[in-house]
Amino acid sequence: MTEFEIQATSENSLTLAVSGRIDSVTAILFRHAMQEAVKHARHIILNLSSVDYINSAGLREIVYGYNALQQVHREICIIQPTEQVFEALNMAGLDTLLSVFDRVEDATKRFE
Amino acid sequence: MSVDAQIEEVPRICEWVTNLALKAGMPQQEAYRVELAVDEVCTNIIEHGTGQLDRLAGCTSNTIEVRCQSNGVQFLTVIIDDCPPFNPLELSDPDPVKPLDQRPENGGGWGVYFVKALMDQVQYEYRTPRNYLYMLKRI
Repeated sequence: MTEFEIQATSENSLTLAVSGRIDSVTAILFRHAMQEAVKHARHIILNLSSVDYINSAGLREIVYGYNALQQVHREICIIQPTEQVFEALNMAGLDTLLSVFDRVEDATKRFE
Repeated sequence: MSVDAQIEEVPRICEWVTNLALKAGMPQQEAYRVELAVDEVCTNIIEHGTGQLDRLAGCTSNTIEVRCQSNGVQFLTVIIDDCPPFNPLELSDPDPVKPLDQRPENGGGWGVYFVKALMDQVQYEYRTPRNYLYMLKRI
């Protein structure tokens, strides 16, 4: 079961927490959650600490979120990716093109 | 195993292959890489080969066949489809340092790139009327 939760973190940022698998079946749900989060025009802290699997279709949605937020001068950052998720991010170069943090506080501070 | 070429079937294929890889003695982390590679290949076949997204193409039976074999040292996964001949290995690699706003929205070949990065050896063969993709991973 893949689940998504959006929570306001501060005035200008929110957290999108995902748990479960992001594969070709659930990537569409991830896109919907990302679209919902993007609507708020706040920075997005994407919490992937409970995601044990992501494929290229899932990564595509992160890129979508990044590009959508760029248009409103907002950013997306990733916190606490699991080993598997980090490997996928790394293969696609997203670990260096996006900010990746170990702690929620560090991500929140960035957007203060 | 042979399944309908539908995206909903991909997790079932992945689970089947992963279990066989683990049974063959592959460590969890390596079995995960095999799973991801199988996912990417099957998703590509379904999205681009069977005409569900790309209406220009089409295969005859709309099924994907997956075979696995192990000799204790290596684990071989073969993915077979009867879509029109297509060698995914001929696709040019995407660039991991390319800025995100310059990447194509439809993905741009990351799936095949992942497969090549995750597996030790990948080979393609077309034997009329089917495409065969052989993926080898050391146990």
